[in-house]
Amino acid sequence: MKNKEKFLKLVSEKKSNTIIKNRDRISNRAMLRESQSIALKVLTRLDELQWSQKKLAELLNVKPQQVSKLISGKENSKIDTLIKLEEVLEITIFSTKLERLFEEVYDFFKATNSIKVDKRITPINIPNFDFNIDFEDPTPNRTYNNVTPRFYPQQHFA
Amino acid sequence: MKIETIFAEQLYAFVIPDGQGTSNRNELDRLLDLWSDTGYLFKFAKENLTVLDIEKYVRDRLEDVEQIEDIIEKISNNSNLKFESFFQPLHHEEYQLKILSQQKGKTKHKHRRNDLRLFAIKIDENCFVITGGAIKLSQTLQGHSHTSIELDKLKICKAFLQENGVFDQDSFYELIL
Repeated sequence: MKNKEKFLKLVSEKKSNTIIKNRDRISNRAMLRESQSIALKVLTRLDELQWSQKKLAELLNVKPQQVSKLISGKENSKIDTLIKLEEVLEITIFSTKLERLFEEVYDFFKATNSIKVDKRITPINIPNFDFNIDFEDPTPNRTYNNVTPRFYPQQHFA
Repeated sequence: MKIETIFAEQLYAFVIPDGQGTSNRNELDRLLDLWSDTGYLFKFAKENLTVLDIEKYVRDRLEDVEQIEDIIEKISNNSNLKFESFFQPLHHEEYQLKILSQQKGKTKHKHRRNDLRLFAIKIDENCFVITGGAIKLSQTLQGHSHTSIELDKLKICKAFLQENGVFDQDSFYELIL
């Protein structure tokens, strides 16, 4: 009997659903990325404030398990929960997607050495940036987790 | 100890008891779930690293796990793609063909290092069984308790296979032929 045949005799008859779950994660990726970005903001803010997840749960008036799910970055959170989070933690959540776009653009140019830029100094010139953003910071006086928005345009891209 | 099929003939994964009788997930399932958990990654970074930008570190690992997901999906849909190109020998000096070769899966990035490692045992040409995985912390994987546990698991799985008659002397020669 060959090695592989011997090995296959050890394999359980029940097939795993790993591939199906993997496919689900890929098809839900846009939602998951958004959820992960929100989770990361919450975690960073909790860390800054030295708050426990339990304290956050109390302030949000939800069960601790709900906070655990939220910070796992796998939860499809309701809008009212997110608004409450913004209020309690004094962070901006609904600009997450835009911030991530800037982050990705920044990482790309930094990695390829196409441009040299200090993250804190803005604006930067992005070659062939083919859309216009009429960007205004909704809360100009707020410090976002000390560092965010990580990419902080102060004037419009043209 | 159980082995589950991820997809037939190419990829399998161990189900390793966690000692409390609560884990019934195979190792690939467990790791994909763990590595895409933002809370886990953040805590991991705080406890094990001195990186200045934890947010970036977490985002990078989330990107890494997405890449692993994509590789698995691609290979499961295309019979021309092989896991051989994804797994590489665990010990860098191990370039020659070896039976029960211990392999680590490593995704490739152009611009930065990838810190996720899937550990697997090579059963046959393009046939692997995953035993666990770790987030790389130091130059040598053995350098940290976090990865040492996973490397121990790899050895336990290898011993399990040998105890069950996989890769005895007879089969050794069969494979070489």
